[in-house]
Amino acid sequence: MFRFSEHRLQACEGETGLKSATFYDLAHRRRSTRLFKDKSVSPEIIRRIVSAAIEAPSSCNRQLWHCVVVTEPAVKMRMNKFSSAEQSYLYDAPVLLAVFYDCSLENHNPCKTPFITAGMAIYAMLLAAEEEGLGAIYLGGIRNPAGIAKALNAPPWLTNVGVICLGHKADDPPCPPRRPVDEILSYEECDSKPAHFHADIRPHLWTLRQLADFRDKLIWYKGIHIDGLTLHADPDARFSEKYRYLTGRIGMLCAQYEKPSVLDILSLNGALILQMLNTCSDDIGTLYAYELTPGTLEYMNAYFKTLIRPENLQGIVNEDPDTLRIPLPDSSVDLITCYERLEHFDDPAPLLREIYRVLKPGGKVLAVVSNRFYPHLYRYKRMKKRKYALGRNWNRGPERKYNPREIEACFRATGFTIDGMTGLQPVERKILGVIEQLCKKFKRYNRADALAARSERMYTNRTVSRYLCSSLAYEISRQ
Amino acid sequence: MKSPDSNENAVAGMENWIATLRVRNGYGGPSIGPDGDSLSYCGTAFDWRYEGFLDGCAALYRATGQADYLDRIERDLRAICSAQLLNGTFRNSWFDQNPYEGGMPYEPALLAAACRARTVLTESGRSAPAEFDRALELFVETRLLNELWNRLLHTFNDWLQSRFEYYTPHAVAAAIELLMDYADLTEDWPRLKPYVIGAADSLLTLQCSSGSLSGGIPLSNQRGSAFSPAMAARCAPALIKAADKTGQEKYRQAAVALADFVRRQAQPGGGFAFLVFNDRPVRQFPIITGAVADIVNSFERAGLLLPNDTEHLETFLAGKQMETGAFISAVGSADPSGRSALPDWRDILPCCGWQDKIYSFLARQHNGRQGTFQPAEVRRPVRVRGRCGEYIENENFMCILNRVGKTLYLWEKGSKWAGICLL
Ligand SMILES: Cc1cc2nc3c(=O)[nH]c(=O)nc-3n(C[C@H](O)[C@H](O)[C@H](O)COP(=O)(O)O)c2cc1C
Repeated sequence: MFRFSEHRLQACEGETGLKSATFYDLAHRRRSTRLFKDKSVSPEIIRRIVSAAIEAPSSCNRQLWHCVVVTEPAVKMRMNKFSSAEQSYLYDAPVLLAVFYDCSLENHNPCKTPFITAGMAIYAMLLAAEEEGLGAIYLGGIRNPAGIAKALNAPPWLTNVGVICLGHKADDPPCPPRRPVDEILSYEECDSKPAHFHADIRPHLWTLRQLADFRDKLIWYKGIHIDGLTLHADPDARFSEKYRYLTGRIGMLCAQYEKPSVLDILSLNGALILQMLNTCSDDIGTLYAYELTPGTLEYMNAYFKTLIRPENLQGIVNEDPDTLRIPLPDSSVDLITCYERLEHFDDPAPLLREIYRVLKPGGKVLAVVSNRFYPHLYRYKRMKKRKYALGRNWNRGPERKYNPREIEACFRATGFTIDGMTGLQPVERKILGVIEQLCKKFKRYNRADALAARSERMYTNRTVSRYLCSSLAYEISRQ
Repeated sequence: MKSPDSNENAVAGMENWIATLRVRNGYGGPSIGPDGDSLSYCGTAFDWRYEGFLDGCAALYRATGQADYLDRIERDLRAICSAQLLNGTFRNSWFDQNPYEGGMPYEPALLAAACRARTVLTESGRSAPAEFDRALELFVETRLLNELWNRLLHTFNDWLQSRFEYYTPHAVAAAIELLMDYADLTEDWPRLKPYVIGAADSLLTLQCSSGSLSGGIPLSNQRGSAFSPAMAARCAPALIKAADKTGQEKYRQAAVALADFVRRQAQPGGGFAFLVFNDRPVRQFPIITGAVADIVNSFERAGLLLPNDTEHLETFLAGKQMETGAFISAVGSADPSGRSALPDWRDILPCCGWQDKIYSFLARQHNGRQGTFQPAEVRRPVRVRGRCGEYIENENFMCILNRVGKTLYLWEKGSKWAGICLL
């Protein structure tokens, strides 16, 4: 599935009639390793790997980069603490190579030569590690690389550009799919292909193809591992109260039908799907997972395989890359879940119409949307200008926030009846939380505990406070 | 409030209540725990509830000699195996955060209890279900040793994800107990010994050595200022077992100091403080009934039980058994000062996962005579959402009404999900 892809080898064999494809072999073989054995790497090998990187080109041959080898647990822990890297490989890999560039001379170079120099060295080390039969991964998803510099007592002219984790592979890492060469390559000038992504989070700027591509690559974004181990320190969805409300509510809704067919809309990496299969698979007839690309579904299937046998899971993919269409017949599902996915569209109506079409009369939709009026500082900043609040994260993709009235009008215009709405993460929790902290500060512990007990509630049905919640869980139905 | 005058009647009452909590293939119902509530999901769960249920059955088998207790153990062991996922974790094993898999300390605690029950089966001449040994191996090798072992800290993490430097002593203790049982079964002690020693040392590292909290072990390595007597007591059996198995007396001394610390947290009105801190006053409430029983059970398992401990618990339990046979869950849940005249709904609503601890305590005191219990409906005024409401439970449902009689919560016993959950 995600194994070595044939067309890539053929592409590089090409016209030159290359016989000995050792370098190409190596380039194709190399994969990011995320599971390491508990086995050390000898200093000689580390030296050989770094010496390969010294051969990498550098601007003016200044070789202004530096590499710190870390093997001591205490130093690793300090690096993690200061940098908030929190990726498990940082702990499990026996060797870390922290890479720095020297910014003393070339800091203002328009081609960013110091970065390029370090980047070349990093790739050389990754290839050398593969050649040594070892596994390695470069981590750039480090929240605060300056913390790495601090932890390693770097002088002011050295800037950290991430860490390579090195060690013996504990598995055969999967091969994430690559773009076709023609998508990357053009001659004489850049061709007029549309951009893959937008830096902008406003959904009206994104085409459906771009959104599909974004989601397709996103599953690999931080090494969510194919064997089901989510090794990165992204918060486990299960600790999110919103998510917990949702899984509980889905179960309760499923129980209202006899073996319902359930459809989930664009569930990222399948966390919610997995949960449904885990707890309700006996109660569900078929669970459809609707995705924009087959890659996402393949990933999900491979991920689930290590946990459950999803007999009643059926992945369905959008067929026309330019039009949203759920490939299911009219009136075919009982229950639909859509967890903060309407946000990807500036106009949710086309998706809502599709949802309405495939829903049986009497069927229900649990749609969670993020609320524009939740008093989050970032959101307000952005809200002044436009209806789009700031995306929470670069990894969320395009995202708008909804004014409850607007989305309710959309539901109604599509033909849905709104059966109820529950506000998730009410604002009063935030306020009570702040007061609780203040009480603790002034040693009013009893008061603080009482407030903590009161602010425990994660959702509300109270009329006013519902509209000031972080997210709104709508239950809508087709009559 | 009905309070049966004899232990065997109390056990009969509990058995009556437990029978009403049976759902398909296990024990269900809402759960209220240290990290939250699982109120929507009420289906079968595989967490530390089996500690009390299995230990209780074993004790009752010893007391009465009735073979159906062994049948129950066998049935439960099979159910546990059927809940295992391919990666070794168990479905719905997160007690108060169900329905999720991978719960800590619940999974190792569940299996450690299952190992004890397995021994009871084999000692009584029955063979343990073959699938149990496979399930145990899968969990220990794949999950515990391969995924949760922290190579840097030499102890067990709670999760795969996030907070790699975080561990909770009572979860580590459950893992130690399980590993030692596993070592006995597999006769593979030399391989497992470094894990046990690393993990036991990680408990000792956190133990307070002086001051008023001396002997205490905090809730986690990163919440060094908060100590839960109930969770700390759960470390005692692991430390004693580690001492016996490794011959290192420091673990025994640590367990004795720990028991001493826990006893010092006894409250004048009975029970133990909920949390004690090294930088702020004690938080006495809520006093969770099941947690008080769990402390005594832990002491018993560690061989550190004193007659006073049993008396303390018996006095604390007196008058707390309700008409259904379950005990009230806690005292002072919503009011940290404990002054509220009206109990919170959480104080009343009983759940597996706490009640089982009381069950196993009572089962140990059983004299072998058949008890009687006449169940009836429970109706209690409770505080719900800061106002007066009512808790009703009978053999068919549990429900909470608000002031004007609107149903805020309803679980029809036997079903997997709550019918109404507005709490
Ligand atoms: C600049 C950069 C930053 C990266 N940061 C991370 C990271 O923080 N965590 C991670 O797991 N992988 C990281 N990777 C690895 C990529 O996810 C990986 O290279 C990509 O998915 C392709 O997989 P492959 O290397 O196995 O072919 C990074 C790669 C690059 C080039």
